[in-house]
Amino acid sequence: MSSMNRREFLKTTAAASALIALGSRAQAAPADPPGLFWTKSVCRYCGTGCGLYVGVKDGRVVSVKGDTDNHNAGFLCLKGFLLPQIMRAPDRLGHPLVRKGGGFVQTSWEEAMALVAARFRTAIDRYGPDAVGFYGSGQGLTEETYAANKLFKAGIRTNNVDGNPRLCMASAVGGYVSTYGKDEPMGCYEDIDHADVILLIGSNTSEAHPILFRRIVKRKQTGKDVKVVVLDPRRTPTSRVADLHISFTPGTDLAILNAMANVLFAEGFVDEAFVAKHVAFGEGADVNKTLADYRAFLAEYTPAKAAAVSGARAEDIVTAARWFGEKGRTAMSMWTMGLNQRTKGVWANNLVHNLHLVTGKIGKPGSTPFSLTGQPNACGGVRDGGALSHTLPYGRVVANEKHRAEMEKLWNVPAGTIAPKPGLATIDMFRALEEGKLKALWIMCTNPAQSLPNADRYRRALRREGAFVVVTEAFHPTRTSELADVVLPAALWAEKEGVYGCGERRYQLLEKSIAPLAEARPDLEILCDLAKRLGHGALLPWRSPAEVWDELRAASRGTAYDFDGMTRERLRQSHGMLWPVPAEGHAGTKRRYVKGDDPLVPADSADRILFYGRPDRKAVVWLRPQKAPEEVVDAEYPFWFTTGRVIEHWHTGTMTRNCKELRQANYESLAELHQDDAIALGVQSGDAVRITSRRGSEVFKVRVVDTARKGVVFVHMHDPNHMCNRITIDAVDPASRQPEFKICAVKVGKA
Amino acid sequence: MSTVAGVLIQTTPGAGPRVAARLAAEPGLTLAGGDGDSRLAAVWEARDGATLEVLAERLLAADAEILGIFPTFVGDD
Repeated sequence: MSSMNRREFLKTTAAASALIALGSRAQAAPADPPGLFWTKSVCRYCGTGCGLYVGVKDGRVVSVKGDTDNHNAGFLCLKGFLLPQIMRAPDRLGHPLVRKGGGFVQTSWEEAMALVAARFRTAIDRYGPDAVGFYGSGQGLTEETYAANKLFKAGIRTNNVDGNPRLCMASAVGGYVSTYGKDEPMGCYEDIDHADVILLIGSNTSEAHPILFRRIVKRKQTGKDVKVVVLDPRRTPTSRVADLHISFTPGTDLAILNAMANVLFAEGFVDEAFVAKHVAFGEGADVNKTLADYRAFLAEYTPAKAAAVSGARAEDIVTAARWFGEKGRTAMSMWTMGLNQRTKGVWANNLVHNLHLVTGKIGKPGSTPFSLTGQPNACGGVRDGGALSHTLPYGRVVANEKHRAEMEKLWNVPAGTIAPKPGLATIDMFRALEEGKLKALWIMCTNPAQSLPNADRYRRALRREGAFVVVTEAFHPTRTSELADVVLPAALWAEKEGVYGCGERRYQLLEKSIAPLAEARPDLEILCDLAKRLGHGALLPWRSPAEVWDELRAASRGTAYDFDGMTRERLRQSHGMLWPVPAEGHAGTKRRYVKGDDPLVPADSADRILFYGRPDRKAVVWLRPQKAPEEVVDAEYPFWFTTGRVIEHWHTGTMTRNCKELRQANYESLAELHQDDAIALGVQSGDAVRITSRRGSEVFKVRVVDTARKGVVFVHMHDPNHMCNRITIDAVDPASRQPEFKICAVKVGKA
Repeated sequence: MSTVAGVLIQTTPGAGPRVAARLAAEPGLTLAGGDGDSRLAAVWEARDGATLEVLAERLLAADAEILGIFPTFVGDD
């Protein structure tokens, strides 16, 4: 194709694609050029799980296009569209590396794996199975995460299996489990299309989940008097569609949520029949309270008091509650890291669920509490797959004898194989490495030396004398692989096959499109190799990811997650399916706990909803008081520090910083300051400031913005050269063990 | 080498025609259609393939009536 023809082709294709997105069919897309074929896949980035097709020509990924038959209706954000660029990025790792002397040397797979197996075997033999650990990822494929979980918990016999979903979703899990008895959202993305009120709290949806934001915008513009309420200390781009933006002092939103509940009761928005039939009440860890106790608890949370605590306006809190509670209208809440990354994260989640439960706005199209997810397979692989230190696959927990016995039978290992004590959660795992208790650590598909809070502390732990760290990664160097003893080249995204499970319980197949780069291998193959070398090859006997999937279906059978009917072939043919899918003839479940939709609710159930996750078949409204974050501002550290995402980049930037277009925007983390704060500090945009917490400091350039809350400094998390996590706090929620990335106290000075 | 992108531009309700008028002078951008209310289809050509995102960010920051710019196609010449 000549240059001119190629250009005309691109312009015609671009115009056609935009017009099709607009809904116009006037211009059809031109035919594909010769030699191009498409494979079905899922976006590699956030937890929205956008379906797409990978364009392959001459053995290379050359293009992607959105799947018009999937929930994203063919739309992708720019990050997704630029995925082809990450496949041949200059820092793709193609060969095993072993640390020798002061640096890395390229070696063979045989030498690298022999070394790794010997070091793990030595650690286990000398110090016991709990001397080793696995730290995985919400980006690994379901089959890969399952293999690691099985190898470590049933082969090596340690529960030291955790992953980065602990950093982003653990409090959402805690919220769902404590309220409904089971994890994961009960609703689906389609609920956005039916919502009359959309409450976004702790979520910059516009930038972190742009395709869902597009759906919200569409609903706002096509629905009747749809109200959007945004609760966020910052006035992010998400607020552009808000009818009401409530800004507040970081860490005070529990008071606001309780005050909203107070208004719901005071103004008659409570669905008393629903509450009487479906709701129990609890405090602490016990379900031992009454409706009267709850009303008494809420009495002190007047809008005026919440306003005084939070710095929000009392009338705005009242308005938000009235909109949410108005009878005959639906209400959907969505939240993400602003609630989860907190030492009171589970409590904050509980308080959102409370609003739905007292109004009965739950389990109906447009009425649902929906936790948005940050990674493409945090839900499917790690949460559902039970690859955290206290969990086992599909709702089981290691502390439950019956659950252990079920998994031991499924895994065909002797009774008593799985240890009854939970292993180390993420922060505890890296502290054990620091203390010398953890001798060998396997890190797969994640970058903790940049993404952990108080990062310098754990960077030192990774290089501690005597610690042995293996990193399997598609890219090198990352801020973690640079500290490893062995770096193994992992196949990336379109180079392998597997399943991702996104935020709405939708499982989707990623087909293999091309061969792995150089000597890179899928993580599943690498883990099977390790298992053989450690004498556990019989536990991981699979010849393909499809064989793993059949075992996973069996593990889900009879549980609340049951996807036994989701065969590999059905996944291949479909555009994703929402579990439960208990039989091959079942189409999937849009809304859980709902009669006529959820197959686990008996058809003759007396009510439209059945919260079967708990023994009493009720959901719990929890009495959760306002509590301050772990660290608050004071005279020495007078600014609140908070971190988050921007639309152009993702996580630690290992992928997006390889895309030339994305390098042009928001490449460097800047310190966003309110103009009054900038004036007081004597700085302006472009000046350098040093931000210091009790843990560490980093220098950033200033960006003065009119969207910041006075006294709050925001920095994005995607820059490995200006790491915000040198500053963040590693205090954790006592229930979920999730760190409080979102809030700490800092001082800011000219650098 | 240059980049050609198809994009859907989402605006606040009723602002589509106003935004379209403002974008008419935007170098490299050709409007392909609109729904008359809040959505515009456009083709964007960037000379060096590295300015597309800068343009999108600038428009998003400068025009409060633009809510989002969603690519529907990206290709390199």
